[in-house]
Amino acid sequence: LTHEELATRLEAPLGTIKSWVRRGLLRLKGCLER
Amino acid sequence: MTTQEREEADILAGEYVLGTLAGAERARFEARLAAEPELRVLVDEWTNRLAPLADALPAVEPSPEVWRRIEAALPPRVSAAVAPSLLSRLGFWRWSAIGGALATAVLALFIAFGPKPLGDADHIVVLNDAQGKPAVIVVADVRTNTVAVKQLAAAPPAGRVYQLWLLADANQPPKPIGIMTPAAAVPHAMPAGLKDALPRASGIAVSLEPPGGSPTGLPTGPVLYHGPVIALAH
Repeated sequence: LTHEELATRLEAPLGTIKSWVRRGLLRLKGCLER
Repeated sequence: MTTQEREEADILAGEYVLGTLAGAERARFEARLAAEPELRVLVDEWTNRLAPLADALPAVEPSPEVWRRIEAALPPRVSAAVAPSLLSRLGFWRWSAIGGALATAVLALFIAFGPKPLGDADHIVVLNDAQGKPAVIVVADVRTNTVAVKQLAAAPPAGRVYQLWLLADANQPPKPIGIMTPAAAVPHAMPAGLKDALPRASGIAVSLEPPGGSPTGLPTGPVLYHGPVIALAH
């Protein structure tokens, strides 16, 4: 799913989705590198 | 790259692997990827991080309702003219979580039985190999007592044949239902008993056997391919 598709499916603004994905990736990376 | 540029590139690489990066942004990133080896390293790192998560997700099996809708959406006669619309439909399936397996099965059906209308079949079996790749497709119509078996996998080694087995249920041994031959790809009459047994069977398997088939009535060679029987509602 693309950012746009996620925004449509989750009914959230595109900017919010991008920020969620970004935060999620950073946290995931943090978890895996600890 | 400054630290900030590197952080930014790392997020882009993550989004790229995740698949959320799309359109112009994706094209821009791919262009950079070709020119900047550093980005390739970041992409590889994200692939290693995210791939185990994708593997851990359970496979989503299509429900009978999906098959019914596919059938309803298919034209009664399949011809070359409808192929592009089928491909665009496949794009949708790939996009949805139902995904690859179904698209492969439908596509394989059309490759194998292109000019033959799908409406003639009420049961199909896609037999996959150990890697999950379709190896054999069985299309059957119990109402007209016809069956066609298309072999997608390579021919058996010299001096061996592929033998088909009907898997009834856990309490019953597999029942031999024929040796695979190239001629079996043409719809033909079902072997005796298959008409009644197929709708109740759980699956079909293929084993490697000596010429003429297993001498014992049970598989003696390795079981190479198997798949579940899928009933198409009419």
